This record gives sequence, C-alpha cells and structure tokens, in this order.
Amino acid sequence: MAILSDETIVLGARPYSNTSLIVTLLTKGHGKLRLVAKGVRSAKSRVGVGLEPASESHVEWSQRGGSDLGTMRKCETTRVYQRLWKDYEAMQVASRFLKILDVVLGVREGERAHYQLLRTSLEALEKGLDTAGMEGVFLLMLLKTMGLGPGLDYCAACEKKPGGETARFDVATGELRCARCPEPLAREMRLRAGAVAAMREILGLTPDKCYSIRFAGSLGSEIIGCAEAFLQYHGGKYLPKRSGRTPVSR
Amino acid sequence: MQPSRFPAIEECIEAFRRLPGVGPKSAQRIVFHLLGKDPEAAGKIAASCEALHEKVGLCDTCSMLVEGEAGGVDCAVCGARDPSVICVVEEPADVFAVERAGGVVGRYHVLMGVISPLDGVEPEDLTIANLIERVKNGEVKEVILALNPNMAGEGTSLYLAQVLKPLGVRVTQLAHGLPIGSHLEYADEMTLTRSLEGRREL
Repeated sequence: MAILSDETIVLGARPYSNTSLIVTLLTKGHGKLRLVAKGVRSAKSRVGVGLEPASESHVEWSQRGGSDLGTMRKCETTRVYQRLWKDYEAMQVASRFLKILDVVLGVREGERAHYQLLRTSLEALEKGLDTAGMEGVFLLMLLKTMGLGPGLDYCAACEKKPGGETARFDVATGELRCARCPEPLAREMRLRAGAVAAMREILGLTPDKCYSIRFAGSLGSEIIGCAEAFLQYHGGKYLPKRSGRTPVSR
Repeated sequence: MQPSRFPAIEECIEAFRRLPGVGPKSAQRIVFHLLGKDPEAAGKIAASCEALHEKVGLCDTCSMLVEGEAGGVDCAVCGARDPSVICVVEEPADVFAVERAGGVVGRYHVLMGVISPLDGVEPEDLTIANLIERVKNGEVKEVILALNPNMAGEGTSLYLAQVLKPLGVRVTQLAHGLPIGSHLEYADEMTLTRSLEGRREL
C-alpha cells in the first residue's frame, strides 16, 4: 500500500456511512482522486472547510495498487476562496467548473494543466471578475488542455480567412466553413464573426491570462454551445444539463 | 447453492441492514436479541414502524412532520407560535435540533434540502415557492436562515436573501464561529474569518 500526498482542489463530496465522506479531488500531480475521508462529518473532526467544494488542501492518502478508491490520512486546508461563499453567482459558476471537470476526467485522469486551469478559474472568480462568459472560456481552455483545440483561423474548404458574416463550425472535424463555402456539414453550429474572433483569441492565450479577454455577453451562449458540442463529440463525455434558471438579478 | 436453513432470520437481518449505521454484525445481534431475549419488543417495533407512514405526514404550510394532522391542516407549531418570525431549516430533523436548543419564538419552514448545483438540486426542487408565498401573504417580519454552514447551505442562504429581502422582511442568519470547547489553533481559516466578522462587544 502506497502513502501519497499532493496539493488538491475539492471537486465534490458525498456522504458515506454515518460520519464519513467520499471526496473527489483534483490533484496537481496525480490526476483526479476519489478518497474515503473517515469521520470527517463528526463534530470532533478538525478538517472543517477543507473538504468543501473548491477548497484547496494538502492531502495525504493511502492507496492499494489497482484500487480506484483511496483512504484519506491527513488534510490541511491551504486556501479557501472566500468570495464563493459570499457571492451566489460566483458559487454557481465555480460549481459548474467543478462539475465539468468531474464529468470529463475519470479517476487518475487529469494533468497539471487541468489543476492549473481550475486554480486560475477559481482565482478569477475570487478577484470578482465578471462571471458572464467565464464558462465559455473555461470550456475552450479545457479543450485546449486535452489537445482538442478547434482550428478557427481559416475556412477548411477555401482556406481563406472567414469574413464578417456568420460561419459554420464543423463539430466532427473541429474546422470552420465560411459563408462562401455552402456545402452541407453532417453536424454544424452557426457562429457569428464576433464569436469566432473571441474563440480564436481565447485559444491563443495562456491559462493564466485567459480570463483577461472581454467579449459581448450575447456571444457567450454561442461559444459555450460550440465548446460543449465539440467536447461531447470528441471526448465522449456528456456534460450535465445547465440550469436555465439564472440567479436572481440584483 | 444450497437453500438457506434460516430464511426468516436472514430476511430479518437484511431488513435491519437497510438502516443507517447498521452493518451485518449489528443487524445479526439485533435479530438474535429480538429472537431470544426480548420477543415482545419485536411485535412493538414492527407495529410502530408500520404506523409511521400512516400517522406521520407533512404540514402543508411549513413542510414539517405532523402526526395525525396531515391533509390540509396546519401543524401545531404553525397554528400556535408567533407568525412574524419564520426559521428556515434544511430538514425536519433540524427542527428537532433547534427545539432542543430552546427553539425560536416563531414558526418554522423546512426546505426539504438545499440548492446544490453539484448534485443537480435547483431552487424549484425545494419548498422555496411556499416560503415566498408565506412571506407575501402573512405578517412575517423576520426570516431566520438556519441552514448548515457548508457551501450548499451558504449558497441557499444567499439565494433566499436575494429573493426575500425585496419583499420587505428582515433576513438574518445563524452566527458562525468557533464551537464551544474547541481550540483556536485548530480552527480553519474560514471559521476564524467568520468568527472575527461576527465578533461582539462584551
């Protein structure tokens, strides 16, 4: 049995027996983990906020070779994103990021880039950046870390730069078709010129700078729809349905 | 596979294993206790368990458990207590906890869960609409949010505050802080921050 330790971010947790939890964590160097955290729900537990979603902790655990479920031995909270506890909208967006990564990554899957992307995203929420459009940026950066970044620079048919009109995105190939090349595609999504430009810009940024981009809020749903369809088609992962119920406007 | 020689005993053990916190050995111990040392208790336990779902229902107003009053009749608390204060809790068991601690002067409202995007629980899945109706229709002046101090509980409190404050009621939340008998050095950063924010003059 191996004893391991790493920096982690909590993706989620569910009750297990009377006082324990099964916690899902994204680690810096060991991918996604699922651990039994014994006794952490009891009043005597000192873990506190460390196993709440999005908390960063240094975790030590034991794991038998071949088993997907380890046992937590120690958990020291290193960072709590306080804004998520005070801002309902930020909490909703963070929950969406955590859920997407939990669905997309299997146990032991995931690299340092995924951890870094999640950390950057949570830091952006902590700084109070506008949450509109953040999910689209997150999904595109996730595609990029998975090596699935779509090609948006040229039309795949005529090899010219797409103009100011609505283009079509081929979900099967990840390529773009301009309005001048009208041959039908098996599975296509329409993207306005602004959305194509924003997506191109996002994909050109490094994870630590990706939330610096600004684009019109109306393009957000196009970018999310496109990234989700591409991720589902190529990653074979069906993301949980997004709630259509928006938070109460302030 | 050979048929079991004690199907009744095994069935009873399996039935007790369904209960939370009861493993196979505890279930077996309970069954042999009922069988050998306390045969009368078996009948009483079976009868009272059977009566649970017949006699206990949910109050139409506050969603708290009521006995023999279900079917449109308010529960005893809804009928008797100060209607200007509503204490919002997550589960019926939380009402018992608050009552054990001395209770609130007002009435209760049980949400039957908390908003949790990670588990797919949305505001529409809870009794929030009923709560809004109670605040709109009644003489409510204060809503006390007594939800668990975890992320889902806090999120639900934030949502409820956003929904209820425009209705002109005072929305308060239970204090967060250090548990009595604990040590400051072991408190996590979040608990300490909340404790400092909620400090009071002596």
